[in-house]
Amino acid sequence: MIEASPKKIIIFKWLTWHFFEVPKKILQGFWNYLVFNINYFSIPQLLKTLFSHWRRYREFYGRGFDPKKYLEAFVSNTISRILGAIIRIITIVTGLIFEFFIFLGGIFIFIIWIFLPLIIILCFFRGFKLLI
Amino acid sequence: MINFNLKTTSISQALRLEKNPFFKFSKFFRNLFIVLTFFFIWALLFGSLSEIFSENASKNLLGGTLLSLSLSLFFFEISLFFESKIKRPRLKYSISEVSLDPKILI
Repeated sequence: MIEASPKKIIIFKWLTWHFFEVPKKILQGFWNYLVFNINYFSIPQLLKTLFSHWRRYREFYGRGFDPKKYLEAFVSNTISRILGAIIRIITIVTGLIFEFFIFLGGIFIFIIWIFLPLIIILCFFRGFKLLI
Repeated sequence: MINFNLKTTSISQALRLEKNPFFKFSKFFRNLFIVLTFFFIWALLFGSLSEIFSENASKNLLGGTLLSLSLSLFFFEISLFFESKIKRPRLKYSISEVSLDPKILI
């Protein structure tokens, strides 16, 4: 006869669930949050276009040899690029700070979950000791 | 010939376990102890700020807080385990796969 579901003692089911299945899910969820944050702040795109013009504000050098016009365009474009880089660096750093806090939060939740049975036992006995 | 025993299926086991008072009342106890924990925390804060309780009473309140916190966490874990693992068993094979090839289970 086929056993549709192999019989397993419930405590072993709980052990595999608590120490293998849920931590895996926590890590997956935590990874999703990290990827979401990276995309939310568009960090890869910002890194690729770090020195691009700010809001595409650019001046054209024009035709012919005109040193004044050339210098004007060069300075203006350089300022636009530097401004763009500053704003992008600020956004990237903000995104990385958020990423760091999400990472810390994930590690905290993961550790709390792993040690939850121990925390429960310790809290129980400590509370009991204080009551009597 | 394949004899399929329905009583050994995960869902049948889940239904049997659902009747177990340990699982049946886990949600109720979880909520009860969460409320108790908040009550004890509130009493502890109130007592420590206003200094109306004796040292022994504060100690008892702290003990009550820890005890109810541990029990709320315990019942939280039990109800979560029951809801996510026992009630929603993962199938090794889908019904369509088994109906196409019943020998897959052997």
